[in-house]
Amino acid sequence: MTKLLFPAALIAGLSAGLVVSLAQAIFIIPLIDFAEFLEMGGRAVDYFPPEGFMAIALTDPERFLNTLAFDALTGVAFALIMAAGIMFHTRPTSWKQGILWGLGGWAAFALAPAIGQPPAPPGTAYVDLEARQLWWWLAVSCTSLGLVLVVFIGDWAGECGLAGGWRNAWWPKVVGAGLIIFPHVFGAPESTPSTSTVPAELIRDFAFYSLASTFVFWLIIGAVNGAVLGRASPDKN
Amino acid sequence: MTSNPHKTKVAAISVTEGLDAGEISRTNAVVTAVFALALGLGLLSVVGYAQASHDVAHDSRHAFSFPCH
Repeated sequence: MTKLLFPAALIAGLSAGLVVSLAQAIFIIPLIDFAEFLEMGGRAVDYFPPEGFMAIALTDPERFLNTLAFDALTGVAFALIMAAGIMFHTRPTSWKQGILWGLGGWAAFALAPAIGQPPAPPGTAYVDLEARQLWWWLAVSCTSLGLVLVVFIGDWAGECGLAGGWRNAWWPKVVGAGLIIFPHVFGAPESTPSTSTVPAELIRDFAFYSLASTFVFWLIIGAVNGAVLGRASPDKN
Repeated sequence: MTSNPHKTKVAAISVTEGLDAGEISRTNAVVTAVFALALGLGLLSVVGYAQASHDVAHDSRHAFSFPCH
């Protein structure tokens, strides 16, 4: 499994990055483009949208390629983190198991931060960037640790040779659930824009397409990571 | 029958290696996983947060909902 970690993360991250960048080109970049037009003081009636993927790729290839490159890097970054998690779990895996890892990744890295700070197009939420970035990390790390405690603590207790009482202990699950809830009780920094140039409907569409595309992205990372890492038993090098 | 000193030596080495192999592979796995985790988090910081790459990463950051502005 050790030898397969980097190939797995690379294939998983690049394929998920490619798919999500196509989805973004079709559904999300047009919304960003429109939001930026409004942000610059343009009127909605004067806006002529670039429609769909071909339009973005042809009319603004640099923008499309930048996004593709950064989506691929983001994919590899998340895939490395997930592959490390699968290694730590020390259990045989498969593409089906990988999909569960993908769901967990999406919950921790997309859904949890989105509850406090919904995905937003340009022209919204310009309040205290640093505080919002810190809260993003808080939400991501608490949710990841929480999920690990709720889902895996029994497996690890067994692995470390701890007694059965540990394996079935209830309190790690309660601590895990507490960690998952904590960032939301603590509260995200105020991110309601004081002056938004972007209509509410556009913000809603943007949040939906962002979460939907990252959902597919995470499922691909999970399935591919699981499929490649599943080719080795965890004890084999 | 005289014993072959080479054979004995080889057997001794392979026994020691056999004992250590599991341990080494486990340590290897943990070190690799820690390295992969650190690399992934480092890459995530650059992609999602480094101010230097803001302009080229702009659309990706909005789409992944990294706090951008």
